[in-house]
Amino acid sequence: MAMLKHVCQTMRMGLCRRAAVPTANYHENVIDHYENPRNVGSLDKTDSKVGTGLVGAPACGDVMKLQIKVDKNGKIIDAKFKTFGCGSAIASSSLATEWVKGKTLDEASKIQNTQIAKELSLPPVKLHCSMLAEDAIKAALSDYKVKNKDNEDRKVAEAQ
Amino acid sequence: MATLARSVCMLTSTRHQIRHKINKWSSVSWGTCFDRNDCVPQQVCPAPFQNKTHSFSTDTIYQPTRCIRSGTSWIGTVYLPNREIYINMAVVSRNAFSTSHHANGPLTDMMYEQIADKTLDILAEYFETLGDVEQVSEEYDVMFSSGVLTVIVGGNTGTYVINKQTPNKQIWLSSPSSGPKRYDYINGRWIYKHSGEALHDLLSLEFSAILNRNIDFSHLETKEIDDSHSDNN
Repeated sequence: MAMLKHVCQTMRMGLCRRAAVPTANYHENVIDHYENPRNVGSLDKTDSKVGTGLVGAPACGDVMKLQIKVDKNGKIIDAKFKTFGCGSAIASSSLATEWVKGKTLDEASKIQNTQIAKELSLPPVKLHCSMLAEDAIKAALSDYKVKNKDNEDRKVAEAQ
Repeated sequence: MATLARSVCMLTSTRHQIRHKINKWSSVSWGTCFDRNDCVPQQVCPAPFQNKTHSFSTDTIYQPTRCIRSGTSWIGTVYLPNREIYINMAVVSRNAFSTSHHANGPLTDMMYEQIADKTLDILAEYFETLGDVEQVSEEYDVMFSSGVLTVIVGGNTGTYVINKQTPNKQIWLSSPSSGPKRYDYINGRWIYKHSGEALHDLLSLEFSAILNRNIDFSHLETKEIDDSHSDNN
């Protein structure tokens, strides 16, 4: 009886030792965004109220498209994204669309990749995904600004 | 036939005093020309080049018929109709047709592979040495395989990941303190374009703070340049 117990114990230890190989798991926030992605889709890119940011390259394994819709007060009322890439890239861009909604253009430009990485607990090798999401936000804002540059100039001229 | 043509060319063109910066070709470049069949087209020059030699006016622009890579620079073959010969000369493009460049030409895939591999090799070796001679935590570990260098510093610091990003011809860094950065090879250094800061300078700064000593990575950069010079000779 004691011998059987001893054998079971050593077997369990052996199995545990093998199972104690270090593995990296996706954080639950990342899995959440992957399984329940928010704001997936497209907006009409010809619309002057829509800014489109397209960053990354297929050869690198990551492409992100982030679109924002801005109302006449300069506030972002809608955002959509489409991402080709790893779970961390999808989660980063999904989180980015969540965060820009309801922000003004200036506030959105202040979103940092470090905040995204912290929220998703990204491992070192995936920090680049958060950087790409920040780049996507900035690209969308810049596209919107370029599209509306003439309107801005006109408003400034009228104000003067 | 080819050798006859070549010898004829050499006889007629010994007067040409063409000076340029090619090292490997310099012994044959003084007025040497090659007949058409000798110049095997490797790649078309991406932009018209301006001749920087002294025997032609600098306003003259010659469109090379062929360009080939020689060491770290390009050789363009230009046909001079008034002299009825072909001249090989250095090409220096006026237009930057690539954001990454090494010496006078763009960074080719092969060059990138060599330089990036060498950079990471030298860094990996140095990180291992640091682990041996410096006061590092128990968890300190260096792993390098398939172009990915991982340095687990441990303690309160975290992990550094430095890897090759071949499609962009970049080196990517992920630092636990300063986050992700992408470096391009510009003028012999790996530079982060947004700030102009070099990879080795950032590593010097951060590791000096971690190990509380003056750690300098910049001597590793000269090491890789010296090695590549010895390869070309």
